[in-house]
Amino acid sequence: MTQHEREEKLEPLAAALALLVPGLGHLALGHARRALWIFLGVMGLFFGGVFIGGIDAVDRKEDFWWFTAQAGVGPTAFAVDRVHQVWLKVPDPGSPRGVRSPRPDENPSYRKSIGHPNEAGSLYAAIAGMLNIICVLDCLWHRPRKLRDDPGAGRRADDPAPQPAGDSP
Amino acid sequence: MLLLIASIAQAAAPAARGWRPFLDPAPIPDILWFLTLIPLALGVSVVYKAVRVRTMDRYAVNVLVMTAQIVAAMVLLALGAHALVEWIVPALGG
Repeated sequence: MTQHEREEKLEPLAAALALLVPGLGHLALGHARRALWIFLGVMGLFFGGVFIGGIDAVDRKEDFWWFTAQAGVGPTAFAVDRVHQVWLKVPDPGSPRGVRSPRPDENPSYRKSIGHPNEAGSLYAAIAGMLNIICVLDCLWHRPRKLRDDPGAGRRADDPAPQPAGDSP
Repeated sequence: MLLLIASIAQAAAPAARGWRPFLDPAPIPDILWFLTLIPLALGVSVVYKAVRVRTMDRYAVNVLVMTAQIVAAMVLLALGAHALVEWIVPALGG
């Protein structure tokens, strides 16, 4: 294998896994520590956004453009939005979407977030989605780094990856 | 310091009553909203550096440095915006 061949590899399966669960793509590529931190970071930001802004921070129908960024987190974002749309909103035949957020006088199952909470919550979740897209792209065009993230190895990631013992012809 | 924490807790108490985490918006007092920048910067740094660093040897240091850089840049931008709006524009007769 030449140096050029080692430089960048197309890894569509890892990218698909990364889109499914943040960090799973890097785990599939053998970077367990990176995968763990990506998972914790993306999920921490996404659910941090839901914590700050309430579940109203993720709303595919009323905040579509925010959701396009939040969707980068993957099925988790769609699941949270599904819970919001189906379980928590109230039916409203007069509304173009068929459902709407409950009013305060309707004994709502959640309170609609407005102002700072909504801004910060939506931003957290949107940034989580965009960061996961970076991770997906990093998996898709993968530049091999050292496979074992053991501290003190001292080899740069751009250096040629060591061949596993059973991998040589 | 204790007085500050007590006053913040007092300010948040009415809103926190009946708060359902992850359903309702967090009852963070208005004066503390700028502090949500810090966990945001930390989260961005954790993910970005996990992708970007060549080795994980100094990962924690890299994350902390990037977090500090983001927060410092935001503070500088805020100061710049404040100076523009409060001092420079009025001085230009705006």
